[in-house]
Amino acid sequence: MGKYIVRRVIQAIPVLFGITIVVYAILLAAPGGPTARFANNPRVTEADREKFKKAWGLDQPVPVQYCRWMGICNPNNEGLAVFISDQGVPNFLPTAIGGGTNGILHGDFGISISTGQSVSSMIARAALPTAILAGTALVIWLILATLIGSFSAIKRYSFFDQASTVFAYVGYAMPTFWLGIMLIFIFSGPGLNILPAGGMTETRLSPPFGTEAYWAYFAANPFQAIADIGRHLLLPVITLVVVNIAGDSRFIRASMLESLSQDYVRTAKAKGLRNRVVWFKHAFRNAMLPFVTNVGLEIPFLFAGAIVTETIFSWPGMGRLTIDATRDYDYPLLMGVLLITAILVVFANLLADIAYAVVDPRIKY
Amino acid sequence: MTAQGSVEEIAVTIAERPAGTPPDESILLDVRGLQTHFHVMDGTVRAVDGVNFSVPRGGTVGLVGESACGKSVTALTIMRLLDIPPAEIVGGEVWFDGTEILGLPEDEMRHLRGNDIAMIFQEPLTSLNPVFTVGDQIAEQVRLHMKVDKKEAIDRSIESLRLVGIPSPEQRIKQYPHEMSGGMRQRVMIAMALSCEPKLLIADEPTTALDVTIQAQILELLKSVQARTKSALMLITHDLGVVAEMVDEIVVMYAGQIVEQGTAEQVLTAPTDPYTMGLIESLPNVEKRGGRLSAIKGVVPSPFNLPPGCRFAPRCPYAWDACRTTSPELVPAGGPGQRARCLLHTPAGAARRAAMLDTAASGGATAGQGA
Repeated sequence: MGKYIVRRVIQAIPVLFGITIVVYAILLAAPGGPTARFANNPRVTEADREKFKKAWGLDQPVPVQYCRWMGICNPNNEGLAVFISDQGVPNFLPTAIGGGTNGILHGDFGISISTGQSVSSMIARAALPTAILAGTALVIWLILATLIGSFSAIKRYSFFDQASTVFAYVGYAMPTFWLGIMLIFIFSGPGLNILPAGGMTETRLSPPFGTEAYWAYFAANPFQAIADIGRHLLLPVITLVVVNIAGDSRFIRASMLESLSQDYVRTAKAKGLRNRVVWFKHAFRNAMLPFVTNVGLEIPFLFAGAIVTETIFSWPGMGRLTIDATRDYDYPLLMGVLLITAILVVFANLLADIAYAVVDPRIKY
Repeated sequence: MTAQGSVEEIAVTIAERPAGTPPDESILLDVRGLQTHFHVMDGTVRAVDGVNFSVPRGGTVGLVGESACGKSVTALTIMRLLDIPPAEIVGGEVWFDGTEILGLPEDEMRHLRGNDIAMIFQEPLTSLNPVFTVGDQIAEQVRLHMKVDKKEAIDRSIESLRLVGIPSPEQRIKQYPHEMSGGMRQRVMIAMALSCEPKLLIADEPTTALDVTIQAQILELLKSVQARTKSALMLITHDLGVVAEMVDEIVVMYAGQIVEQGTAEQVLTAPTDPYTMGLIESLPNVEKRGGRLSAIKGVVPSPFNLPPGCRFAPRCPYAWDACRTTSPELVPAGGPGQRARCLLHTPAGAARRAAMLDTAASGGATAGQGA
């Protein structure tokens, strides 16, 4: 198993390298470019644009730009010396042994054009709100989807099964943005007005989330702070849960139905086991096998930011960061976000494969 | 033939008993007028249609018939393992160990399953749960019925694996089913079934999915453990060769009904029902070497469209007009206690039967001379 994990991690390296090229190529091919942000600003002259391009290194040939972004080339050197760091060793090596400091190989995702902050710090700041939202939603939706799916299969064609089928199709067909807006309209509209329409914290109550001042406030009033986040969390979590539960509960229902029709379930019954044990030990364990892979593929996209949900509820997470970066032609930020998403997908797949081997004794690596 | 197989006793075991009263103490399982139907989209399938037979304590009975004749459904009905719906137990009684079990509450039925009645299935490859070790799966049953602690349950699991001839059972219990061969898995199934020392073991085609050399081993094993544990055996098979070696009594089923029953010797050497005759004739035989194997012509009738008279009439070489309109009853035929569902054995068929026997005798004599 250990050998398998090491092999998979090593295999991931060329994959991730390929992803950097694809991300770079796609953004290069997209219309606009970093200077498109000035398109509607008549006060920016052609000379200003050239100055902007020079300042951000956009005047360099594309391979050089990519090479610098990756951290293989040293932007301070010219000619063949670009591959050598200021310390005189190959630039791509880790900083600790004299390699360069720039580029994603050294953890430097560059500077955001629109905010001037480092991309890594912006992503780090957005990661926690996304983790809170995605984590809460994921736990609730997996538990509910598993319960609903299993009971639907066990009580096939019962009223509960029919009702959950209808719920699943309605949930599946409902666009996220529409559900989100309806929830805001109902719970935050002038009628009820009991829940906040967006944001993560009450800004009149506490400093902005993520700042040092906020953590000081959090330490002073932890319960108040958590309750405040909880109130803001409610609507986006409901949105994510309703939309995602639909497909997953169907998945588990189908998987469970298949398990329940297997010979070993009949054997378990013939042993005299209680129905509960037959269902939730013998059938359920097998029904979960394909679902593990399914969840493994869903998780990275959730943690990369539920883009629509976060945007509707102004949740300061990765999804909103992606939208902001796109809208502002903030290429370094956009590339950083896309790359992080890709890394999450690669590693979530790895985790899913490992988890699969843990739950299914027939899989040996 | 063992002691249970004596002709007089068989005659007792298959005699009619009034409904609602327990059978004789010597009878472990008594199935009376069992009717199991399946309600499916195309209509109702009468999978088991009035089946009567009994299994004496420690005795062995073989349930024989082609695929879809209702033999497995009979077993699953006795175990009450059918999903209701689509299945429905329409009528009949099943007496086990002095209790009628079709009417038992599910809780009490569960105590019988795996404990007093154990079942071995046809497919050892899929009948074990792939995600639990075989030790877990046997110990689970032992703990459920024997009220022992975990350690003792594991010890008993090892013992039962040893009983079925699995080498180094201490290591084997930690293995998963996929790490074993088909024959090994069927041994595990047998070990599991025997782990709680059941009074009745139902084996539903236990060797069908195994290759021929393993089949013989598994049958040998079943026979030896059955003799040792003194449990009764109900063997379901389509293989007459298997029943010949394994059982004292034979019940032949066709299209949901019993067509012939009697001792193994009676049924195999002197069959009285044309269907049984056909089955036996289609067996390979040393005397018939070189010739083509005979087969029963035609196919099993559709369960939705059973013939109005005798269900075997369309395929029967001896059928006449009456067979297509009259449903025959199971009537005494042949030796003591032997019964067949055929009009030949009623007064209406007596003349034809005599003629048939004459032809068979002369035909047989000719064949004998030819060889």
